[in-house]
Amino acid sequence: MKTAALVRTFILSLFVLLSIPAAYAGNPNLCPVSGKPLPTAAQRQFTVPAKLLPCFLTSAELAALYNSIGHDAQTTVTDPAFESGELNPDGSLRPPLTAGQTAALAKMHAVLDDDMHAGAVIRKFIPNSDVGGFLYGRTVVGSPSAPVVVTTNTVRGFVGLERNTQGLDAGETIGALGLDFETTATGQFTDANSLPFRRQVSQEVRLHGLHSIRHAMSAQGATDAKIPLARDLNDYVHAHDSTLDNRSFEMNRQGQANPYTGLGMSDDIGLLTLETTDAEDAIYPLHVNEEDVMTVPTPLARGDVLLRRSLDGRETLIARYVKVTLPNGTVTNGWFLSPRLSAADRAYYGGLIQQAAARVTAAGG
Amino acid sequence: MALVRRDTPAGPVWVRPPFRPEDYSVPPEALRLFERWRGRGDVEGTDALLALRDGPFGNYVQVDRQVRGGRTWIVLLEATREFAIEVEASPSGLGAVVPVPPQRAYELACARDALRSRPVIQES
Repeated sequence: MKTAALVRTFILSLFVLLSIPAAYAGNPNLCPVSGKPLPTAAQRQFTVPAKLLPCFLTSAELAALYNSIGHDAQTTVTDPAFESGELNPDGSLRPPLTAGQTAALAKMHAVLDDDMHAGAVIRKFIPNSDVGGFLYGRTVVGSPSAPVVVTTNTVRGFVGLERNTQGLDAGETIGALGLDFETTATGQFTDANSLPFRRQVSQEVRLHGLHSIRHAMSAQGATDAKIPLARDLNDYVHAHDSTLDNRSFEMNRQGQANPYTGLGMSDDIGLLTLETTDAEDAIYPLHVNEEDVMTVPTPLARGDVLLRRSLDGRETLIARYVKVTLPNGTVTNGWFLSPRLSAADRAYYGGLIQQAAARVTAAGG
Repeated sequence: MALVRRDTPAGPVWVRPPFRPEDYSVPPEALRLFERWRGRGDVEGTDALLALRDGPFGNYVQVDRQVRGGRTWIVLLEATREFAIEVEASPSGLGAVVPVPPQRAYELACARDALRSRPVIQES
């Protein structure tokens, strides 16, 4: 008798549990999966994906997401230029994405991409070697024999919503964003390490911090920011989710040591943590996120700021992009160093600007 | 034209269906994207731009380069859909952008078949 009652209670509990998601799904103010209050659009901008996604994805889908890193999303790519992208740093073949991982990734992007819109706040992390050129407004690109002076009043390349790296320190940020595909002994973001297939946070970042531009997206910019996906995943998204129509583009992986995942989600590929209590070969964990690529550069906007992130996670305002009226009356935009900078910082950034100016002058600009 | 995988007793192969012009035609949105990188003052020269890891052209493979009338032209083959676009090299951004006729794109795609890791069966 007691057993029968227990079984009935268990079945009833199971029924109630199973019916909960359906009840949530019917309430527009609640998360369809977790049943918690649905975050507003404004709250979502500043909710890290790891906290936002349980609102919409089941624990099984979340597990599939976390397990998808290191899987091959381009098994159907036939061009030899991309063969190396199917390999791990040690030369072994990456396993293909499973059906569950593919579906979970598509669902994740459908959720996170909703927040890439006009007014969305993004971060563009830049190498320290570019800081002077940004602040000066022009820089020199091209080969030494054919230098070209270009303006630096746009944001381009990989970008992501600010929430992707919210609360992370400089090392964790480099890990979360997979900065960058560097293979030299010393780099802007990472340096070589004696451990096989490992890199470490660069001396450059340890000395001068990690810089990013905080930019408020325009409507056109938000449209031009698209999720880079390797072919298998991109094809799946196009076939299964109309909400992502024209929101992704095919970008396959090249290079077995390339941190680019092809999953529309960034991660490092063997970056050692700075935490001294971690194991000697410990690397930064995945911070789920959605990365975008500016398929066309988008102009900086007044009010954008340049920030420096330190190894302990503190951020310092370095400069603000403001309206500038030139002596001839022309109105333009330019960077204005923060008046709160220390004397040492002012000298450092002033030096970077002078170096950029000298390079531009030498190139005939 | 995306090649189709076929499993055979000897292992998987790629199959190239018979030529149809529409399979190798340049989509308008692809041309528009290239056009938007023309005549800019904020980007490097064409070669560097096409080689960017974080740019939108990573799925294009350079398959030909010619100098005609003092101008350098680069032919790019989209690696999956296998349409081709010819761009004029420019010191900043891209120069002129021209769609490559489907028949020529098809020939360029077939020329890469010998380089692929699996055999390609040409259907007629």
